[in-house]
Amino acid sequence: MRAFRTTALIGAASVALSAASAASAQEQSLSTSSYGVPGLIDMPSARMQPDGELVTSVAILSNGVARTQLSFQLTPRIQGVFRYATLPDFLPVGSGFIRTYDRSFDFRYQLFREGRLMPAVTVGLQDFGGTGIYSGEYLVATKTINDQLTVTGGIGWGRLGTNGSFSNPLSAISDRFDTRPGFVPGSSGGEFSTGQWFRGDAALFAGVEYRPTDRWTLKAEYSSDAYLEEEARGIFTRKTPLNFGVEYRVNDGINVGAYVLGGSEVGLNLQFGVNPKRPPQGSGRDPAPRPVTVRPARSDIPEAWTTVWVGNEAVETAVGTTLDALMTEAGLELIGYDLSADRAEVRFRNPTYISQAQAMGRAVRAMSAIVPASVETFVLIPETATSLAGGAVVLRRSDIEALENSPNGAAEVLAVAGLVDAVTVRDQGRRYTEDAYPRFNWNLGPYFGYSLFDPDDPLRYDIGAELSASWEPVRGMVVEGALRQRIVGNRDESNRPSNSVLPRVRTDTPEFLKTNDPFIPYLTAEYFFRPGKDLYARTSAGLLEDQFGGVSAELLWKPVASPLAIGLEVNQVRQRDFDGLLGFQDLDATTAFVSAYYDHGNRFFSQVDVGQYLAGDRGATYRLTREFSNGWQVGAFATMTNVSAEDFGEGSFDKGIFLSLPVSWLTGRPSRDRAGVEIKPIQRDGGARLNLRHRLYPQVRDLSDPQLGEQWGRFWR
Amino acid sequence: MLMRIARPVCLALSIALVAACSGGTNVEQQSDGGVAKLAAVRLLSIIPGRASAPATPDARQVLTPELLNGSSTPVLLVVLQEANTAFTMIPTAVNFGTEQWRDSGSGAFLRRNGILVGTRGLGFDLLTADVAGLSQALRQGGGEDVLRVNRVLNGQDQVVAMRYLCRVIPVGRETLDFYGARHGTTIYDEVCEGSGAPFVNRYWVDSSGTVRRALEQVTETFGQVEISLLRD
Repeated sequence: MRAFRTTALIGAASVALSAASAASAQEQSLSTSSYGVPGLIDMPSARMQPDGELVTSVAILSNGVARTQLSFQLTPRIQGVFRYATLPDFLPVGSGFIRTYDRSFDFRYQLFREGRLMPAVTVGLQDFGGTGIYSGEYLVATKTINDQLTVTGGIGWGRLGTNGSFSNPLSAISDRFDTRPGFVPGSSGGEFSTGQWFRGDAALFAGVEYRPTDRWTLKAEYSSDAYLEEEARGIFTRKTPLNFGVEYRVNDGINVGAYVLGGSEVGLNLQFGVNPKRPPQGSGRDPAPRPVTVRPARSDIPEAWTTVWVGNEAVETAVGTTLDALMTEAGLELIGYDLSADRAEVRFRNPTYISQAQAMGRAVRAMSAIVPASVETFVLIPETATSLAGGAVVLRRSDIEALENSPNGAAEVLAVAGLVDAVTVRDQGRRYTEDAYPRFNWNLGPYFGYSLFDPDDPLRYDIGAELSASWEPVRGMVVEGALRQRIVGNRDESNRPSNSVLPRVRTDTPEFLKTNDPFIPYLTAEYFFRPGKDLYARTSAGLLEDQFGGVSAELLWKPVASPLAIGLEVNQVRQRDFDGLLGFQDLDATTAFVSAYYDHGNRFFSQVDVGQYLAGDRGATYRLTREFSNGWQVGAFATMTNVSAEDFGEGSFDKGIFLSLPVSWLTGRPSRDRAGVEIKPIQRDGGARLNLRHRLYPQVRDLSDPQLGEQWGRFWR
Repeated sequence: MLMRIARPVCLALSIALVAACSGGTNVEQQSDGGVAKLAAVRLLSIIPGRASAPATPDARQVLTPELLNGSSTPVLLVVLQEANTAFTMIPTAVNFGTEQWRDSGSGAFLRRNGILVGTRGLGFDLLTADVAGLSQALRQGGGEDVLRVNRVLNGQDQVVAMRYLCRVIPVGRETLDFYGARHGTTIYDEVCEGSGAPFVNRYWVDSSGTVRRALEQVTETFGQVEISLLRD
């Protein structure tokens, strides 16, 4: 029941997204199998989803089995799947069996694209942890005969090689393909069991999809899955290897299907597709900008070009005040400015637009309206909410005037824009706006917290109220804190005491969620500064996150046009009391990392962190992110440390996937708000890091190239 | 004691405010509340009656000859073909021959020589259009192989240039009656084929060469708009 509730909730969230995106769909999601990949009923096909497609699918079977899958088309040929499944009466406990929950990952690679005569060919690793319930590998070919008919045939191993199986044809290459280590229910799993892939007996499968109309699809398959483990436990009786299904496409994002499995069970398959490339609001409904104000020709009105105002404090203050108002109208906050006869520099914050280039486009329009005509050079320096500046963009005002409505205006401005490190910009003569510092902000609002995959309740949540405040007495010095009060939720009911043999740096998480009183998620004093060209720095002290307090320091090297950045981070922390107030426990930890961040140039980013983790273990984390220029981020990470799989416990090593989307993508209204989720199959103590709120790289990345140039298309928006 | 009071007070405040309240030096949006705000936005949008704000009356029902004659600025009447709604626009700026027109809300059109070369605030907007060839063809009474380049931001916020070759052909004459003001016009069709789906725009050009009315595609997804220059 709980599993169904969880899947239903995930489904509901997905419907909201799909329904929103459906209107603008160009390419549509392909129909999925009950395992969440393009395919038939249980069997996969060789086809791939459209690039970037994110599909949530929910398959529910009449015997109480349910699977929820999240698949992402990472590149046109590579697809990854995360699966959360539940099976009744499956896990052996004593003499009986209980319901089990299982998390698994798939990887698919399309070897050949479909040609006029050639079928598409894909190799797939299903549940590649190797000891999982659903582990199997396949090589499959699919050919689209015409608009209505698609045929598929393939060979499977592991679970997909259990019906009508024959000895492994790969044995011709090596004897080691002869046998496959067996499935071990309840094993820790999680390791890449390359030694098991494509081993043991194999079997053939096939199927057809027939589409009599645009909306209806009929499916039939000959399955190579004998459901051996399920039959052994009496939760499935397979009368035939033939499965049949019917599917209805509600819209371009939503499919609903029903099927008969093994002649004995019926199932339901719901599928929700969304694609970052299909924003429901197109390029957005941002209010139209103020037009560029073009200066009168010097020959027409020479007095407009006078420079007698230079050094006149009253004039400069008046310009600053008006500019402040114009920037506010544009959704920006003016922090400081520096005016001279031919040059104007502005420092501003952008709390509004995902694209810094769009913020710059709005800023130059505001400047053009008030800065005296003699000023030809505009210098724009966007800053973070922690008063860090990165790149300074230098533009000629006459270019801005000439290119505002040029057909290729955005690219033409980019071509003539100069980018230098803001540290190298002179700072004598700079004035800060009156309300820039000190600054104080507060906020009272709701908060939402969730915990996934507790076998007693796979979706736990808390909803409460949060009062937060931030004070910046001087530039770069930020004091922040928050107070939370849970109002409803069930995260305090989790009753799974830690069985970790490592220092319990994360497995005590449920203990922190049990307080019924107000608690302090963070309370910090931090200083952000630029120690020199290409360098950014942060020092922090206080209650750094909900479970640890202490001190932290970070240094980042990131030249303004470099795809590579290097960071160094050192933290000395102590575990906080479970009541979330000001006290500490006895668990100390020192962590330190060297991080490399690399922008591959095709909207893929890599991050490698090497160092010592919270439990004292040493190792490295690799994180791969695919980012879309509109702000979507989808990625995965894995951490390997010197903790053995046995000591680590369930899952064997730390890993997870994450997804973050800008709220503006959905609403079409400009906003830097994001909604995101990070899914870890399980949280253990190995490979754990601090959850610091203000790591440098994510803050400063979009202040300089390559990221800044990547989003330049919105300059004239 | 304090705790006992704090909880109901917070609950009441949070429910009442849903999407939070804040204050201070300069109120900024932070990524923290993303999920909660997203949920709030969606919730508010499905509450019956909430989404449909009081509709502004259709401009076609409000406009009168007196109103137009009393206008101190030029006026465009824009009809969104798909939605069958109409509104007016007035000019706000001219920059090197490109006029920017604004509606009463946050939308804007860019026009050059009476031809639509950009939209803002519609969602599926036209970023820019290069219509130099079309302008010349309308002046010359028609043309073959006229190049048009429309640029749009794709779903990834990248500028995509769509190239079309168009035929500009006179297809008839019509006298337009704009609230009592009559304009004799020649009608031209612009028949375009190229990067995207083919489309046909139509222009009503008066004897002075002014485009009095145009039926133009914004983008493939958005569809067409009819723009009439009621007063210049």
